[in-house]
Amino acid sequence: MNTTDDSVVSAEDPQHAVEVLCAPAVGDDAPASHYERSRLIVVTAGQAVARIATGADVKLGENVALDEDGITVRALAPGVLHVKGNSVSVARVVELSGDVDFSTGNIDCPHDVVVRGSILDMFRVRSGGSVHVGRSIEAAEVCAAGDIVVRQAIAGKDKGRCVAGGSVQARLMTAAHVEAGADVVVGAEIAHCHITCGGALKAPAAAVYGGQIVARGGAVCGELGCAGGARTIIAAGIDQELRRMATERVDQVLAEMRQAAKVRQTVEPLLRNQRSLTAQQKEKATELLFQAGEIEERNRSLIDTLRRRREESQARCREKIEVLGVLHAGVVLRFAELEAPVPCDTRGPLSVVPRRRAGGGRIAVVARGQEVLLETRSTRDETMRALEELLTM
Amino acid sequence: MRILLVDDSRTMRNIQRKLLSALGDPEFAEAGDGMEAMSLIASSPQPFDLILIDWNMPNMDGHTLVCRIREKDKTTPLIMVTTEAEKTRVLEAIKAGVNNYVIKPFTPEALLERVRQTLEKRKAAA
Repeated sequence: MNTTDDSVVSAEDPQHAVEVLCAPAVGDDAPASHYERSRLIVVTAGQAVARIATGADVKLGENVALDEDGITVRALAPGVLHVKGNSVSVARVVELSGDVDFSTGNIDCPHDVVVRGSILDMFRVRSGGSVHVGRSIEAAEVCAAGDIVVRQAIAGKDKGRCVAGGSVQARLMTAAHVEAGADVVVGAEIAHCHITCGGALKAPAAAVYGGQIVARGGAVCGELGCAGGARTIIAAGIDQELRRMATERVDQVLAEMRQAAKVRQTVEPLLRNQRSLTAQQKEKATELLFQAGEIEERNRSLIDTLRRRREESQARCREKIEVLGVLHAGVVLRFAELEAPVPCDTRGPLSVVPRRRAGGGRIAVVARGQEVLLETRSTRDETMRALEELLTM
Repeated sequence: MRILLVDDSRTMRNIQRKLLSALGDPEFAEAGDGMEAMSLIASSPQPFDLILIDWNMPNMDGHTLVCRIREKDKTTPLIMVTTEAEKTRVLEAIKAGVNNYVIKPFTPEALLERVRQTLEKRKAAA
């Protein structure tokens, strides 16, 4: 169903038997921004969406029903209102036959979005479901709670951003910023991209060079790095989301622990000498005890969340990078607290894994049954160390 | 469950309200002294399931409030929550008709425990 090609009638149009009762959603900066002039009318379940002229012959399509008054059309499900001639319906999927451009404006939809063309520079698509793109995503912002599936390229021009709760799939990715909760799957090439995936990078036939990739679930590449020496950094088995969470929360938890301890320290002498306290001091002591209890309770819940998240992460982390073609000199390989540059071109198929020992370890390249240990630098991930320390307290 | 909190300190009432929210989703009413509590009880369409009472308050103190309540109502659980820690005071309150007694300063766990105890006893007696 196409919701943009002359499908939405104006409420003032006297030729139509259907009067639309709701207007397209506009962003905060509209009407100054043409990007915000969306033509889509997003409706909620139960909302009155249209009124029918008396005696008019109107066809009610999916997800709408007529009220008892015989003239009010109400949405039965959330979605996008579709009015064409004398037919009214609410589509659960936004489907655009062309590009996301000035004719459509930005798209913000609680369900799936299908774009047959491309999403052009500077436009924004947000979806509570998945986004499917027939051609390419250019320097646009695309956020989906589910997957982002692109038939051709994500060409971000160092400005665009794609964020998916699920996986991101494309044939090509160039100068793109991509964050996926699950896998990133690429067919032909990844060039100069910043990619973070909660799952694995799956690009067994692709040349991967330039930029930085962090794949929690490991990576499979066709070729890694390039002869030209574009700086390529790839990290596997590292959970960026957990690191971000730890950065935000660990200091907060430690500060609150100190605060609770200080409150308890203040109240301790009062509790030891209760007989000599005035009524006012006894009330104050109750307040302090309650305050300390509240802080500790809040902290317990934060620590539980961090612990659960770390356990979940440990189950999904995979410290392995597989290269089916050539692993080029100059590529920087990273695992937790280990980093090694590749000294020379190595022909695959090969795998790169960490060999850990107390106090450090080395990164190894395993090819044709032979293992070569690379010159490896030990690094310190203070954020993750602080998290470990907190969780073992 | 409907709970009446009677204390002249708003902070203390807030603390009690937050702690007792752990008992499910009780409905709270608050009074700053005994007089206010009496009028709330009188105008309430149904009896409260629990009343927490401070001893030292302006206008009408907690002890007098307990006596007044018990003149008409022998069953509603009453808990005295007070800084008065002397044995004679505790006995005085029990004689007036309180079901339990919590001395300030109290820990959150101690208050909750006493409230649970009181409600369970009431349930068993009903």
